[in-house]
Amino acid sequence: MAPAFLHGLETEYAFSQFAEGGGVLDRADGLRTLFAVARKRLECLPDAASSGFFLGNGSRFYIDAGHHPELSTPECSDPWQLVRYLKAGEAILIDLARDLDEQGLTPGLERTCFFRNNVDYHSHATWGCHESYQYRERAKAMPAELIPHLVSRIVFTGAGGFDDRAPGVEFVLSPRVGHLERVSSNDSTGNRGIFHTKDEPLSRGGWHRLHLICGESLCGELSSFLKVATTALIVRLIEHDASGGRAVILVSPRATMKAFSADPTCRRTATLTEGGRMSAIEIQRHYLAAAEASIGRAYMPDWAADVCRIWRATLDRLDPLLRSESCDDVPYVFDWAIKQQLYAGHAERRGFAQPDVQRYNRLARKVAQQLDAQRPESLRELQKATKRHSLAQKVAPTLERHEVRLEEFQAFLALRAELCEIDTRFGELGERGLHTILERSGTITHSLAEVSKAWLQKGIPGILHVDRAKSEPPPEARSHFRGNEIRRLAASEERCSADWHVIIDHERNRIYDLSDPFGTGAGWRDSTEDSPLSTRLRLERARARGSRTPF
Amino acid sequence: MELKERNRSGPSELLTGGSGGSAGSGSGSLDRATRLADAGDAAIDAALSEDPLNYLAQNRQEGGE
Repeated sequence: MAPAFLHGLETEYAFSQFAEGGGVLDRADGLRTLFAVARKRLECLPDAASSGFFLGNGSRFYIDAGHHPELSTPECSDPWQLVRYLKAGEAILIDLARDLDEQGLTPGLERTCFFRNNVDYHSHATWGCHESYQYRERAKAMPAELIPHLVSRIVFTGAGGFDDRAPGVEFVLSPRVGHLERVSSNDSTGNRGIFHTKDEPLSRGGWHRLHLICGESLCGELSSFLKVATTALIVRLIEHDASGGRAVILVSPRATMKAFSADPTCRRTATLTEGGRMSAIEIQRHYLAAAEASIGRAYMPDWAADVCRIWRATLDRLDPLLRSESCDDVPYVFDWAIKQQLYAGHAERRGFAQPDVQRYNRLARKVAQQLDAQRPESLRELQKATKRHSLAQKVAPTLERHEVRLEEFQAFLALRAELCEIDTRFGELGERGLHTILERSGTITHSLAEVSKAWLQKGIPGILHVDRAKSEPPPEARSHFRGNEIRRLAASEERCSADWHVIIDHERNRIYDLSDPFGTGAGWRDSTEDSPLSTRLRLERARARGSRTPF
Repeated sequence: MELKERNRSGPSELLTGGSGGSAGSGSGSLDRATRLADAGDAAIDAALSEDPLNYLAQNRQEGGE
C-alpha cells in the first residue's frame, strides 16, 4: 500500500473590476458581489471559523488580508491531483468573472479580472501562494535539510519578473525572493522567511503541517507540478533521513537565493558549509540523486519514479546553461524563461538592447540615490521626479556624465513602466492573459503531458478532468468526505457550516468529524457539551457570527 | 530580421540558441524563437493598446498577504 501523503496550495489572486470608460470600481463592493454570485453558483457551506465558504469540491474560498480573494485546494494525495484542483480553482474564478460581467449586477462594470501575480509593482504588496505538506517525522531536521531545495528550486519554479524595489529594469527569476527577509520565520505578513516555522496541523494523529510561503503563483503547469512534487518527495526523504540535504547546507541561504534569482544564466554558485560551491542546478541534482536512490523504498510514494523522470529531464534541459550553451526547450516551458525572452525582446523593440538595459540600470540606481530625500519607492515616483524641473536639474550632471539625455532616461523609465504593466498582464486568468494567448498560439509548451511526451521516451500522466474537479472532491482522504457532505447539505447552508476538520449542523447540534486526515469520515454524531471539539466549535461559531461578512 | 538582431545580445541568446550555442542552436530553434517573439510582440502590443485599462495602476493592492 502506498504511503499516505497530503498536500495543498493556497493562492491569493489579484482582483479588479474595470469601469466602462476607464477607471476601476471599488474593490470591496466588487468582492461582496463576487461572493454573493459565488454563493448562488457553487455548492458550498459557510466557513465555520471565518468569512467565505467551503466548496463542494473540498476547497475553501475566502478573503484574506489586503482584500485578496484566496482559493485553497482540497487536501490531495499526489501532485497530479493537487495541480488538477489548482487549475479547477482558476476555472471557477473565470466562471465567476464571466457571471459578474454578464449578470448586470454592477452598474458601469466593463470587465472583471483575476490575476496570478506575486508582487504589485506599485504598492509593493504581495500575493501569496502557500504550500502545505503533511509529515510526521524529524521536524527539527526539516529547516536545515529543506532550505537548500527551496533556495535552488527557483530555476524551474520561478515566476519571473522584476525586482519591484529596484529603480531600473532588473529581471529576476523569482520576484518573491525580494520579499523574504529571514532564513526562518513564523511571520507571513512581514519579515517572511525562506522557511516558515508555523506548524498548524489542522488534524489529529501527531501530524505536522509544513507551511511554505516562499513559493510563487505560476502559469505553467509543469512548473506548478514540479514545485509541489519535488518538495513533497524531499520532505518525505527528510523524514526518513535520506534527503542528503545536510551535504548542501548553504553558508548564506538568503544571499544565495537573491544571487540565484538575479542570474538568468543559472551559472552562479554558492558556498556550502561542508566546503565547495554549487550552482542551483547542481544542488537540485544532489536532491534528485537522493530521491532516485530511494525509489522503491516503502516510505516512497508509487508516483516517485515518474516525478524523478520529469525532474531529471528538466535539469537536463537546464544543464547547458552551466556550460554557457543554449537551451532547447527552457524558454518555452518555464514562466521565468518565457518572460525573460519576451521582455528582453520588448526592451529591444523600444531601443534598449540588453547591454543598454544594464547601463541604464546602473544609472537609475545612481539617480535614485541622488534624489536622496525624495528617493523614489517606485518607478512611477522616479518618473514623476525626473519630470519636475528642479529635480531634473539636480540629476542633469549625472546624466551628462553618462552621456545620457533626460529624454533618453525618461524613455528608459517609461520602458520599465511598460514592462511592469506587461508582467501584470502575463498572469491574467482567462483568454486575455498573455500566457494564455501564447499557450493557445502554440508558441509555448504548456501542459505536463505535452512536455513529458516531448522529453521522455514514455511520457508521464497529464493533468486530467479539470472541469469535473470544479464540483467533485478528490477521490480520497477527508477532502473527499468533506466535499460530498457539502454537496449534500449545500441547500441547507443556513443550518450548517464547515471547516477543514469538521462539518457542523448547528440546528441539530451534531458534527461530522474530519479531524483524522486519512479517515473515511466517521459519520455524524451528536456534539456533546463537554467535548473539547464542541467547545472549540462554539467559539468558532461565535467568532464567525461576528465576521460572516468578509469586509 | 528583428529577432536576429535581438538575439545578438544579452542572456536571452543562451536560452534560444542565438550566437555560439551548441544544443538547439540550429535553424529550428531560431524559427521557434521567432514564432514566440512574434506572438509575444503581438500580444504585448494588443495589451498595451488597451488604454485606459492601465492594469498596474488600477490594480494597486492594499495591505499584504
